[in-house]
Amino acid sequence: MTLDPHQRRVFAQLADILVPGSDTVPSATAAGVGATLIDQVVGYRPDLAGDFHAALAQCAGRVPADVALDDLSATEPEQFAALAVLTAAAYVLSPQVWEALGLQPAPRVVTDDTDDYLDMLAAVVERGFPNPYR
Amino acid sequence: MGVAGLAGDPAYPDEHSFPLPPLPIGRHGLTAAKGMHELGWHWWPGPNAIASRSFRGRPACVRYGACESDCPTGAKASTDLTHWGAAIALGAVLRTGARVARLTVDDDGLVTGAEYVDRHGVIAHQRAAVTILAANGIGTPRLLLNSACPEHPNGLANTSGLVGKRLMMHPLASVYGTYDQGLDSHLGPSGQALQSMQFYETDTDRGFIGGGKWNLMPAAGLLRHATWQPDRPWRDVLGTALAENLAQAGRYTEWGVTVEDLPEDRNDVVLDPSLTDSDGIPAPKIRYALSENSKRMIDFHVERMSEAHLAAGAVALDPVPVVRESGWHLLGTARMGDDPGTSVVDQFGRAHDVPNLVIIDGSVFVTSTGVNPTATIMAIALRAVRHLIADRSRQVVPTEGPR
Repeated sequence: MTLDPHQRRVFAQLADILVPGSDTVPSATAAGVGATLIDQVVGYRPDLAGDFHAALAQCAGRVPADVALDDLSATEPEQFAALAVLTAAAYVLSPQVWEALGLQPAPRVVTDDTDDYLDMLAAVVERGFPNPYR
Repeated sequence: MGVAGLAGDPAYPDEHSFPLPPLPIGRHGLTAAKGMHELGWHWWPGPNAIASRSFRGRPACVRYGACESDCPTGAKASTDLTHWGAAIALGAVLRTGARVARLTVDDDGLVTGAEYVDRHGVIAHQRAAVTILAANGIGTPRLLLNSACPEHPNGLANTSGLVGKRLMMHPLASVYGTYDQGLDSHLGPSGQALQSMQFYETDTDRGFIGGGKWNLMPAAGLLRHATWQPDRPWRDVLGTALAENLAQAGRYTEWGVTVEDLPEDRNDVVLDPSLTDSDGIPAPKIRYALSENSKRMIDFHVERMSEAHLAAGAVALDPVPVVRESGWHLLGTARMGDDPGTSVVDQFGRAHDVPNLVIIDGSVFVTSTGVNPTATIMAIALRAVRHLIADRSRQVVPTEGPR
């Protein structure tokens, strides 16, 4: 259930209020949320699609849009929750966001780091454990 | 299952080993370990049923961190991967989506099988010489109570009156710590990087009995830092606050404790007088409240876990004394024992009242322990089935069909 052009415009406006960006991270629109990522996450959570579309319908044409979001969160929390989580989920899928946060995502190969802590672990062994059943 | 771990933990029995080497404890684990080392408290790399290298057809973990929902690569052990394929290959038949309405009995009070509703709404009966029940600490008493009949008017296997009683759920308390350096805690595996038994054993000077095992979890995933909850203003999470919240990703880690709640008769599973599932099968009703002992235990552990974070260098703490969505260890509602007057099953899981009914889930636990119960449940199940096989020449089975 992809967005039609009108819904996509409404969503882009709301998404940039929910995720306005900052000096360190991009806004929702700049991160590509409204272009394709929102369709991707709605595909992951079809159970939220109905509330998501209802949220867009509730807010369409409302000015100012941030007040429309305040009203939605108060009166239709399930619709707001669907809009919020799908927007946030689309946002954190964006490679631009990961790059801005300086994080390397999975997949990552697991490595053996036992050498980093064996000396500390030796102290645990030395202390032992008062096991009353032994 | 392919558990990855490091042998030698002095808090565990002397003889133990793991088929796979330990997973990395990562930067968050190393940071927390330094705090525990500073305090002189017990810690150990946590064992996890997650492949640290390829194991029996499962690939090594690649750290997606989605362990608590579903592993996208199959590195995490779950019985669909570890057991069902082999069982089906040997002739087991798996009927998914079926709901058992009741266990049927014959005139001698023996179980003759299970009446179930399939996903087409068709009521069917599976006949069995021996019935093995593993429906967890809520599903098992629900089914036994739903199986009341003239021979078992208070529910099947319920002469003791203890079916459904003494539900224990391991209330989970957590303290999240935020650190000023990157911990890579956005990465998986979302198993326990470390565990601690420092405060596991009873010390009555603390004002409660029992204890709990700690688990250090990575708090993986960016979305958890951007998810609105209805009890909070959305601007606390999203809007201009989002950038700061997301900056916590990778710098955030959790000490959690599995609290040993005690077996109490007031915590129980009964049948709801009116609610049913969509097939019309009476639904369970859970009546559970934290005891004063558990509340004191939680307060104590939250204070100690906060100290552990601060010793490790945490710059902010976020305690969650009761994780409301927890309670997934469902134990105690068909307790094991030698005396049929005070227990539901014997030491091999065989119902005292019904000698061809064996229960092999966590409902047979007498106490909850303060550790994750799956390994113990598996051990009890294995022991019960081995005994069932060894004792098969003496096994009583029904001679007639269900009534």
